[in-house]
Amino acid sequence: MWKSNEDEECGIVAPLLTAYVESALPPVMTASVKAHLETCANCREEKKRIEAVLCELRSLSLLCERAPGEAVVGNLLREAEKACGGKGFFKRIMPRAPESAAVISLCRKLGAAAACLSIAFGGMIYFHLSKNNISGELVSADSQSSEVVSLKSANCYPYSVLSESENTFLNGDAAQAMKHIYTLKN
Amino acid sequence: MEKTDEQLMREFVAGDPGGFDVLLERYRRPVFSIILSMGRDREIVEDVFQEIFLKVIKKAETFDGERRFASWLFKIVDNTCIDVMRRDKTARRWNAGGEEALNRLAVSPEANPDAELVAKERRELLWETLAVLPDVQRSVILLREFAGYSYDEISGILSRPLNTVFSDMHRGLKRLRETWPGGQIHVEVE
Repeated sequence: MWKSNEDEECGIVAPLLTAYVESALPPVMTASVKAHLETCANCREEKKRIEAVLCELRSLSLLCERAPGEAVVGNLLREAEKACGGKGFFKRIMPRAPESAAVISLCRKLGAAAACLSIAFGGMIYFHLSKNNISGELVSADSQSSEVVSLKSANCYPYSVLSESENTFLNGDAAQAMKHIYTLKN
Repeated sequence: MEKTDEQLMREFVAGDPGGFDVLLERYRRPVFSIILSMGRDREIVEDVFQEIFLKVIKKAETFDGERRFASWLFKIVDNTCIDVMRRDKTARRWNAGGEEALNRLAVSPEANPDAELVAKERRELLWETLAVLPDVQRSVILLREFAGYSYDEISGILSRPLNTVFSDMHRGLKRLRETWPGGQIHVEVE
């Protein structure tokens, strides 16, 4: 697997020795390095030196609590919030967050659509009312009497219609009562 | 799906402090561990930690979204730690205390009642040595041995091929061993 020249082999294996010692090499490379170490005294010595330095480093890294205090973290979060509050660079480089701008744009579109629908709906109601109420006359739902009630007549509308429908309503026929009130003449 | 560091950073730059909150949670332990390796008192370590993340806040606008956030952050960590070390070096009288510290290093910390003090001095000397290593070798050693990242992760953070990272680590340790008193003292070769 390795070239026959021993120095060349060492040149390839040596940079991998630290990872080998730390069991961090892929299996194939591990096997190759292991095979080389069995035959090469120089690399075995190098491996021992590396183990010693790593041991030294690790003895220094294991002695302390590894997290900052909550007070420090709290301070930093406050600083971050302050920076986002608009006093820092945010206003200069990006007056509005892209996400916020997208939300606002969406709201504007929804608002415009709602306004269009309102106008259309209002127009339809107006058209419907004007079509059915063009004579300005309202009749009672009581088709038998076919009594024409002028809208302009304060004596007849709405009180006369209401009293009639009220009786119907009190008799329990709500649907009929509503017809009495608001059926319009064609 | 979990947001990437870069997405969180963009959100933070756009005015959402929540992005910074998550990034701080993700990186506070590895960053703190690296600073601890300098061998300073906890109070100083916390000051340095704060200094680093304040730089992140203040320099956020300069963050290049195409770059890895971790790479950018650990560059700040590295620069700040080296600055702190140099600042301290000028403030302290290393020449006077150095020889004594070296003598004490010859004693194993387990046998010494002042083990923590000795370890502290060894860390300081370690950083003296790390400071003269090439940046990338120092970064690999710190990320691997103190921040606890895997080689794959380091390869991603530093945007270097895995085999190059192996090589960086090996060269870094070799130079460390040659110049770091702590490294020399305990090496026993057959």
